[in-house]
Amino acid sequence: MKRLYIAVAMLLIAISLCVGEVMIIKKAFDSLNLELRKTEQIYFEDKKTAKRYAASAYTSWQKYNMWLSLFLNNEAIDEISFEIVALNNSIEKSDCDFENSISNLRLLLDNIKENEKFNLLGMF
Amino acid sequence: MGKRQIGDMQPGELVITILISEIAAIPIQNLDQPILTGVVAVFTLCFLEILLSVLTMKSPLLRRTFYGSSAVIISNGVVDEKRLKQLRVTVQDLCEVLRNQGIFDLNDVKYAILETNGQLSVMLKPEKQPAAVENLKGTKAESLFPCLIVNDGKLNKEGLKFSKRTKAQIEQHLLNQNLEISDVLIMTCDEKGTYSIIKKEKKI
Repeated sequence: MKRLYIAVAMLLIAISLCVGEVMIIKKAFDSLNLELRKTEQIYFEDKKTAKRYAASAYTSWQKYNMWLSLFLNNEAIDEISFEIVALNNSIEKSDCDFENSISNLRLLLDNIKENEKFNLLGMF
Repeated sequence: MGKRQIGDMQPGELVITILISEIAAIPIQNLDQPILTGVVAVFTLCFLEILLSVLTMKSPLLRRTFYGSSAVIISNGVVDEKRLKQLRVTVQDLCEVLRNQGIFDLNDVKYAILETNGQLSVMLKPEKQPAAVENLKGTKAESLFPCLIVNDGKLNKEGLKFSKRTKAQIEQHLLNQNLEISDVLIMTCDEKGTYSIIKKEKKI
């Protein structure tokens, strides 16, 4: 029976890690999406505030980066980091790449969220 | 898998061991892969393996399904050719394994049992066995094969068939000692009809 308790403990740890992963991804991505939405809404009216929001998005992303590297493919994390930096640069230069960057970023985030969703297909 | 060595493992346990090492190596070799994929997979495999070992311990049917059962290939000095064919073991293989145990003549063997881990257990005929202390005292040597009748409170049908006993006989014998089948940890019966009973410990 002692071995069964160890087995159950292992299963609980595995389940907790999976649930923790989904929760951290949701928290990180929701926070990033909020900043992106605020940036997009204010960009054409007040570029200074948009730049501030974009910088805040980058800071928010950096905060979760360390934890996300435990759960996500590092290549995917690097792509998102690259896009956030590109977004900040496009706001800085006020060029037409702003909308491209925003939509690329949204696409990357949605892809990852869809892949990491807790469903039977995802488990296998 | 506990403290058993690789040579003593069941085939399923060996597969799980190799799987765990392969899966654990993936995030170590490929730095892009998150470590969680390896950890969760390893923990899940460990859980499944431990659960399977507990279930097979409780259920003889599951044990037979996953690990098979021991096969008697020489019984009373007679080679069971049908069994050998079923196990895909040739007589040459059998002779080789016997030679590895220092037995060069098939006729010296009274019982040979192929265990689930692939090892062959051999009982020699009495006249071929090394002398024991009781033989030196003048007692005639006997090769009696104790067959497992009851295992952990459950009747072993194969053992019952091999020892040519019925359930009723076993129950009667146990009743004479104020016992039931469920009270017995191990019960064996040899060719002379001598029973050996080890009772289960009473839980306080």
